[in-house]
Amino acid sequence: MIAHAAALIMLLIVAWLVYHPGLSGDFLFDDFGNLPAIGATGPIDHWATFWRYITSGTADPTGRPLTLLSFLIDSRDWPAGPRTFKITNVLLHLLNGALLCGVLLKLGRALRLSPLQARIASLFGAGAWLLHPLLVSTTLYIVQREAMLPATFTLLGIFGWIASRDALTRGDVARGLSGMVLAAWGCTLLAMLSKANGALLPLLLLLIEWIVPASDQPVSTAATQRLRKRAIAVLLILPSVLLALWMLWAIPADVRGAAQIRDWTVGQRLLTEPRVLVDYLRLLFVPHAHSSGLFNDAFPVSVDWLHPVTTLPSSVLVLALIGVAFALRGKYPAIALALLFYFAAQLLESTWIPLELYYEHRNYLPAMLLFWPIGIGLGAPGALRWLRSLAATGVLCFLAVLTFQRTSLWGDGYRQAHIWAAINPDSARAQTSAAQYDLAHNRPRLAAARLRNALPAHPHDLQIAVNLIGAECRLNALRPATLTAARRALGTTKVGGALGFDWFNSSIAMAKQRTCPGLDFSAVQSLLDAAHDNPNWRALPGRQQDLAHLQGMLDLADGDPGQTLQYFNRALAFEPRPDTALEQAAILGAAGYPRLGLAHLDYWRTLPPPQEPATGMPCIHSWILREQHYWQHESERLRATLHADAAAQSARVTALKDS
Amino acid sequence: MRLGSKTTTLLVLALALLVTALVYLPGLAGGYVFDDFPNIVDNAGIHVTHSTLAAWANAAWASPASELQRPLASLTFAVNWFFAGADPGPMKAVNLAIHLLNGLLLYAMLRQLLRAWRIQRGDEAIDEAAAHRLALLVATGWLLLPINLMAVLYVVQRMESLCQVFVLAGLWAYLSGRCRMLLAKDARGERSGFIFATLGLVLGTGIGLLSKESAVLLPVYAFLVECTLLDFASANTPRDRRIGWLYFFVLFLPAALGLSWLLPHVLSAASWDGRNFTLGERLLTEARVLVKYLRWTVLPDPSTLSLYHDEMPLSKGLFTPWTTLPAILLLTALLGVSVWLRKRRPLIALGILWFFAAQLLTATVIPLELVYEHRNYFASIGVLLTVFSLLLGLRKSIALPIVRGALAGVLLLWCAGVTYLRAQDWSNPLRLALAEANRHPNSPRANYEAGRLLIIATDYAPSPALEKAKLYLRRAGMTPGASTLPEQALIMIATHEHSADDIAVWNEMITKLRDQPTTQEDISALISLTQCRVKTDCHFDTSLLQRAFEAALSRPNAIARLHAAYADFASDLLHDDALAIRAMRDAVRKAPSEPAYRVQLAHWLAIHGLTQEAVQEIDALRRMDSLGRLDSQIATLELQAERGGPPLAH
Repeated sequence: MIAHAAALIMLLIVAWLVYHPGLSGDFLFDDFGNLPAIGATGPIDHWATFWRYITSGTADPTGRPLTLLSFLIDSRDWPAGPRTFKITNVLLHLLNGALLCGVLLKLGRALRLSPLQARIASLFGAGAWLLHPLLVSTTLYIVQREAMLPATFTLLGIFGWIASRDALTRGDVARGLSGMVLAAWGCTLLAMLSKANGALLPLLLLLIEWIVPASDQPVSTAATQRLRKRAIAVLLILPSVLLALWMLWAIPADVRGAAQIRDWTVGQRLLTEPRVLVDYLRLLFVPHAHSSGLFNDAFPVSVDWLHPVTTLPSSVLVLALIGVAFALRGKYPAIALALLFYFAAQLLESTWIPLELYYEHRNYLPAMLLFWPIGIGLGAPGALRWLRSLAATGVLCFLAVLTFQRTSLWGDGYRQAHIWAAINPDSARAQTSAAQYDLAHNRPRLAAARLRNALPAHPHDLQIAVNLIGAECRLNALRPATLTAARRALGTTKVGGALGFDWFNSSIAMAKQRTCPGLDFSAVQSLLDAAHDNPNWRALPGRQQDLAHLQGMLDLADGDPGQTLQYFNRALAFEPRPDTALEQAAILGAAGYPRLGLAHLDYWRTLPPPQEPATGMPCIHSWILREQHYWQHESERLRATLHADAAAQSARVTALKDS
Repeated sequence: MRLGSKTTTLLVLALALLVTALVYLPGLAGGYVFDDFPNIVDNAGIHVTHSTLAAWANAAWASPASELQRPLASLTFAVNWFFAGADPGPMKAVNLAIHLLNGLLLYAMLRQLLRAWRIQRGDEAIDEAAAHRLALLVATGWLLLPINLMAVLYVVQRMESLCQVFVLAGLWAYLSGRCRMLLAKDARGERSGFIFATLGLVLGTGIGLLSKESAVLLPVYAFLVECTLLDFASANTPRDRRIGWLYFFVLFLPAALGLSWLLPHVLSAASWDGRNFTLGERLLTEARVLVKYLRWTVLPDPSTLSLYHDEMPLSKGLFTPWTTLPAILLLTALLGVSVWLRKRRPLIALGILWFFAAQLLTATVIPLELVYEHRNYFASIGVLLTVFSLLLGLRKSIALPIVRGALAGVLLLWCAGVTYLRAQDWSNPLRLALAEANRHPNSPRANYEAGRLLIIATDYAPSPALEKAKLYLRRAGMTPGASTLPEQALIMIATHEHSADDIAVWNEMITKLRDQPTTQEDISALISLTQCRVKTDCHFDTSLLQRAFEAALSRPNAIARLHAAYADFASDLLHDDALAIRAMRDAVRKAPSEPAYRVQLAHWLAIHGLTQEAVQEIDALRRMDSLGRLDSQIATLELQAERGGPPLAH
């Protein structure tokens, strides 16, 4: 037992060392969309901001508050550096590895493996997962803590469930049942508060209960057996059925959603996902130091069973693996459990919900049991055990070396972005990200060349066109063709609203300061007009609000504040949210028009209050804002400032007249 | 003296190693020859001077020799270079150490072979002491065998000898595993023996492949052992199915896949374009070559053994030359004998079959050059096994022991003597070259090498030696099928002498390049002339060299290296970077996985402001950048591309 613990500690130390080079990496991609919430309503140094922050999540109905809470370990304000976040992620990964080792040990005992075999299997199974290079893109991608925390609670849930059912078997009814409730429902709740994926925990427990049933030793009475069956029905089967019903109920909404925001249909997604799963399995069993990373937007969609040709074979393979798992469950329960666990844990993200098609981090939880059956084989009594132990160590070392290579890459943002761009030549995101690093390293010519290479293949992709404008501005050589390309992208893109909004804001500033020859007010106006004509954005009030707001910004920069007020009013009318109203009024005030700002606030009062969110965390969030009188305070403060500014202006005018 | 006791065995082995080392000692003083230059001396990749991961990774993938890159062999060269620089002595010393190690492995492998056979057939088949004696004699004979000198003193052939380390060790492990299987008391013992044997084959082949492709023959050698000696048996089953499956997976399946990949290559005309023979001619010629190999192995004499055998005439038909058909008949007869003797004298059969098996890669359909002595490094084991088991038998008592013993002794002494003489020839590059040229007046390479080394010795100073060099070079150039290297050397002499008669030589060269398949040597000649002109050591008219390039490029299926050489010529001498870029694009297209061409192409693109294409090439380089070996070059190219430059003049 001591040897087992020592070996586990060794594994954890190795994992820490292997991950160490990755700690110096940058924020990436979705990090920028999620982490700034930390400072959105001020530094979190008192309870009011704490509650506002913790309820501010909008992903999932739950808003993932536990994940948000965990970010506070690393920073209470924004901006912050990435290092502490990454350290916490890696430590969480180590914790998960240790928990996994414990869970595998328990599962091994439940399968009645010999103690030594169970220990070897748990060490290898947990070690291979802990050191697997594929998981680097979860562990070192800060925002994916939302994939790691549910795994933690899932492991706790499994551990607790097995311990509780053993207690029940021993006749300890109170402890057994309360433990089961805590494990099945408590951990599921916590996992869901980290990410909706956690809802799968009851199903996963059900799989374990089915394939690795509790032993009836040392004592089990008919009464406890009956109790256990009822507990399974209520605690596991009921939530699993509810989840299934919810997923089925959501299908029509999923189909509509895909049509709105994706380039593929739900049917195409269902055809594509088996290929995605097969590719995941390839990367899991034939590990690589360099995979496509975060930029999988170039993963080809299956349009029918034969295009690409791998579609049908992949589907057959996935079904065959599931079939094999069912067939083997009596003879090789570990293999059956590992496979079914893998596919069950993919149910939410790899079926019909219209999420993006491919992400490596989706394997974090599902892959947990995959290597355990190999560990059982390597630890089995029989011939050449020393050789098999040696092989197990060799495999772990190999994985560690690959992971080390990968974390070294993750520790160097510039190199990482460029290797990803080289590996994914067809990914617009990868090309843009590399170009942005070029710009940050003062290499606008390289950035422009890279984006020009990518432009023909992605005419509707906004990020390429607008970043190309940025690069050409830096070279003082903005081409008319680039503006045309940007207009085309703005007029046809389906996504990229937030990107476009931020970019327009900075372009208007550039046009005003004349920092980029060729990007003047009329050029920006033509781009805004193109965006206005985008049929995909016309149906979205949020986008329309953005565009009207931007028109106002442009007029303000161009020296027409009256026009600006009209556009701001129009923008506000689409969705009269207080944050929008206050921001616009503040902009007018800061530009030297406090009276217009006050007029805008007056106009806001005449508008009907926006619809309150009906469900989920946003509902609680708005309740908290109401309770804190947050917007009331903010608007009063702004009014006071604007009044003071207006008064000062009048005084100045009078003084001027007097003199 | 009783050979059974351990101490005696060790003493005899130590003596054999010592004598081998002594015999080879004079050769350690020699220099680099022939293929050592492109692979080691002129191969910047393996010149590791600072120990960084990127440098070692770059060295591992630096071999220009084959698709598989032979990283292990290249790494050992780089380690040599790291510690001793360009000095060939330490390189040769390491080669000698590898050869001695192979001698020990051979002994151990043969002991396991004979032990396995004894277990399988019972004690009456073979006597323990006789087995010992045979293994010792074969190993000693093999260590001293003159034909194996190539793998020791010819530095680059470490690829072969290092590869055979893993072949012999793999075979030893396989036979040890088989002994366990044959002796096992239960299924568990059999299984562990089987795993050991499997690991021996798989690891031996896998690691050996990192040195040279010859390692793929390891499963064939093991399979032949089963066919002759062991009959696929294990302790409890006369025919163990597992062994059959093992060969299905390690031999037949890979062979089928390999052949289906290889055959289209072999049958396409393009792959024979760099050769002056066809597939049929090669197969006919190789029959004669194998007979020569046998002769050189069994009856070695210093006057026929050579680094170069390029004077060997091609067989154009069964009777041209007349020896072709007899050679084929002889080989067929040998094969027939081995099949016939398979049951009664399996060891003799195995020896013959090993000889043939070892030639499977190099003497059949792959368009390699025709003759090289180092190709017999494993094959000679088979020959010696046959010869010594014929000579000494496997019984403890043999008829006429003194006569046979004396014969064996004379054979060993003769081998040692010939090898010693060869090693002395090899002790000095010029001496070696002159000896080879005088012994092989029809070998263009031998004559060229003699001419080249005489030029180096005289440094182009007018002297009788330089005149002699010209004689050698003219003789080399006039030999049918010779490359343009002799003309290149003559042009260099002429340009140093400021003599006007080089036009004739140029015309000769251009005609050859137009009419003969372009060989690597021809491309090397063109590159040397380019470099000589760039460094202004040579003063010839650039248009002559351009005509030479164009003559070579006019032939179908020009290879990447020719395009790359032309690109360098265009940039350095014509100052036409647009042409250089076009030519280098051709080189990249034909050798997409060669980073050097892409680096050069990206450089030209970058400095002429063709940034978009440069970025694509840099990305391609990044995809090949394993272990950061190209990092520094990529960083430089990025800087150049960002800086840009004047557009190309058209």
